[in-house]
Amino acid sequence: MRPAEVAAEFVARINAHDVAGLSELMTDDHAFVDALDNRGVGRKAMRVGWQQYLALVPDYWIKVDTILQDGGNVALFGRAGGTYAGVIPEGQSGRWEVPAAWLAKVRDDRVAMWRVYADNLPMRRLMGVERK
Amino acid sequence: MSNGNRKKGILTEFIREVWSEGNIDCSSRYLAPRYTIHHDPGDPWDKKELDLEGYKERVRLSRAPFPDQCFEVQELFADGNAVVVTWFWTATHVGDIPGFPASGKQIKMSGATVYYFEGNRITGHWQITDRLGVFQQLSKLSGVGT
Repeated sequence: MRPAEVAAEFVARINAHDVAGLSELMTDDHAFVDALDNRGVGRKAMRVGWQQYLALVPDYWIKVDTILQDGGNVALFGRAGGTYAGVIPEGQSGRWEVPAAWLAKVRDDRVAMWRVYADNLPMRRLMGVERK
Repeated sequence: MSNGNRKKGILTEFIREVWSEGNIDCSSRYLAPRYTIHHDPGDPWDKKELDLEGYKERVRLSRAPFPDQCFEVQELFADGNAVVVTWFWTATHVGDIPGFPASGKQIKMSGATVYYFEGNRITGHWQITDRLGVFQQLSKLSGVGT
């Protein structure tokens, strides 16, 4: 598979909430890096990480508008959204949607790194991590 | 040198010379006559088409509160007429922003940008940044919103 196809399949499995399928597409040393530069490393750890995240945002989705590729690097641009399932501030729906970009490093038909670039403030506010 | 590598080289120099070092007049060596900001939420020039002077003004105003700003290029790759750069930005907040008086503190931000080329000239960009995260950092420093 071309790296862009591997990355697109990774997105498809995220949108299907197929954590086992996501895990199959990760290298053993897979790294997840969020917009705040927090890192999770290792396929097993990230399988748990995705399970926890999808429990937090049970309808999480990604919509990719553009995919660009250079060697094993794939950049994806689009939007992400969902509904936060935790306790939310009174009067809010919990729904959020943000423009986002992702960088995938693909090695041997597996995703070695998945890095998210997004404005996370709406989600952080819903979680009560940030104030308005 | 391949076409893609040439564009990557041009973009690296553009970011360093114009945005990090503030040699704004050098913009003319890199930009097409019309520059389109396709997507840059939170940027006052989002969706606008700028001529060279308009672009220089954008750089000048953007750099004014953060004159020592530095873009560290993390990843850079080319695909056709596009070059993707992912970056980490650091700057010291030494100039006032509406609602945020100069604090002297260091601010950080990450982002990903697609720059579009025609030949060797940059014609526009599509960008996503954690811009609101910057305002959150500024709010903590100034006490605004806390």
